[in-house]
Amino acid sequence: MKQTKKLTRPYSKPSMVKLGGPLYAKHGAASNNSVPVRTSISKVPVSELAQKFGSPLFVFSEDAIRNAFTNYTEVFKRFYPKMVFGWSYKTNYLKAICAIFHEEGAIAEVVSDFEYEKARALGVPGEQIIFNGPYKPKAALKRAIEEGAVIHVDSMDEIYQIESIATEIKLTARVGLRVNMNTGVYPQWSRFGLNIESGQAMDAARRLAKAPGIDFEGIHCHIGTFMLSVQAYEIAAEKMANLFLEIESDTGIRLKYIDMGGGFPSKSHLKGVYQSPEVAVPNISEYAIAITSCLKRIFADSELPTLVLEAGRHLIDEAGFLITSVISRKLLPDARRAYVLDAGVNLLYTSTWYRPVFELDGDEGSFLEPAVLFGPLCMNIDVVDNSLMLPPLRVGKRLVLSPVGAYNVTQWMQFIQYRPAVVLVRKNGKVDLIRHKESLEAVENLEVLPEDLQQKQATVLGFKSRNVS
Amino acid sequence: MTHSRLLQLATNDEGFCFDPRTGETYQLNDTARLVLTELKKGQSEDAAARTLAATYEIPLHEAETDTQEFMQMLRINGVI
Repeated sequence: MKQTKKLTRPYSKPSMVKLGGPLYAKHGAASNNSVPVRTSISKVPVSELAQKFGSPLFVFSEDAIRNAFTNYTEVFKRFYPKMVFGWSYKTNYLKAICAIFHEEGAIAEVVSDFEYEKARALGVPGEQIIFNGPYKPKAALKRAIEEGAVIHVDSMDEIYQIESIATEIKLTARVGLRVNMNTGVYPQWSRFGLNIESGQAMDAARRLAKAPGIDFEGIHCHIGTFMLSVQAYEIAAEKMANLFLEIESDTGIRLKYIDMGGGFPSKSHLKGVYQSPEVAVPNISEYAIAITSCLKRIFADSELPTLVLEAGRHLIDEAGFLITSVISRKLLPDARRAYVLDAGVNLLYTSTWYRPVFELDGDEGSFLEPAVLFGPLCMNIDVVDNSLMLPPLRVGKRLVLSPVGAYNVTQWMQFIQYRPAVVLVRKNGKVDLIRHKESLEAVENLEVLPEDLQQKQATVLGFKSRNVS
Repeated sequence: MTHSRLLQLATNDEGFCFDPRTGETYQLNDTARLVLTELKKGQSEDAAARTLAATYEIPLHEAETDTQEFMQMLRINGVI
């Protein structure tokens, strides 16, 4: 029998790439022939995490969360000590994640009755909750008033509703006014709150100033999401400060705070932005200087209002990773390699707008070929990435996607698949499970099967079951 | 049966491959070079897959699937 020389180097599937195409960048130089490798997350091996908790798996790093919060708050407080930080629940409202931010000193910023209840269930006192959002049911408003939460009103109708509830229960509601404005960016966020330039905001402020049962405490804005323009915050801060002073001169009420909201970007790659995040995303200190310099200039002759910020994405995105595995591969008719992963757009809601970094959990060599990554859904739209260069991968190979800590574990879908477990790598290196992988029981818990439809065998024409003893 | 067009391909030890019929150039990885070498020797696809499996100590079914895919790549690129 023919003896074959055995090789010790790792196996990589046979592949060929046509030259003159994707291996060359526009300046004629060969592209960077490497795919980043990540073998661990916060010093815990990726292989160990996947073996213990399964794949796919969301992994969060406690160190990364605390470091991000410390850096962010220290930068702002260096310029403006009179600050309050609210953790944006909608970005990631897993209990363990919220608890870390509260332990670091953040209050809760919620946008629905569900989030309000989550914050309260976690032990956050009502007076440490900012209640935002366009829809707050009457029962939620009543509870928020009773518990002393600050309610940011979104419309005139909501102002009247709060007046009515406060009068009815004979309590004073703590209220802030959500406003919107033109900050020079497109699209202008005008659907939330009341507009400054048209005079709506001042009309609402006059109403709040004289409304029965309302303690008018502050003004709030949120100019957009993943805002790459520092100047937009400077414009917003100036308009907010001027509105603050106009309210004082017009109504005689000196408000307590200006809430500049959030919208600060992470180091994620926004699709359509040519430059890398390292180049395109301004440093957080640039935002801090733009906002606080403006406020200090305008309030130079009077007491500074408290500055409230409600960051979300900026604080959590880079602390989150998704481990996923190749479950099968095939060749597309255009010769591109395609892989089916065990995680798809059901878990990566943000992949519509943001492109994560794809890292391998081990070096697979420098031979790269065009590849497409599909998710596990039986849906044509389930494309995780349709154009990237990867080495040929074997079934079972793991990839680590990041940053994915913002919005994915709140906007993920339970569609066809069970949603995976979520773990937190603690500061001491221990790994805690913070959300179980879903089960049939958990998913069906809210369903009700009418009695007359129970225990009936389906009658299927044309299919005969095997005799199973 | 050896694809006659494969015999026309010029390849070097670095995996650079030139197809004189079309003027196209390709970069092959190590395993593709191995399979191509076996095919140019006159080995069948199955035999090339067996050599691939034995050389890299991988399951034969994986080597067969991968060899088939490589043949598809050659066809899609107009090499054979």
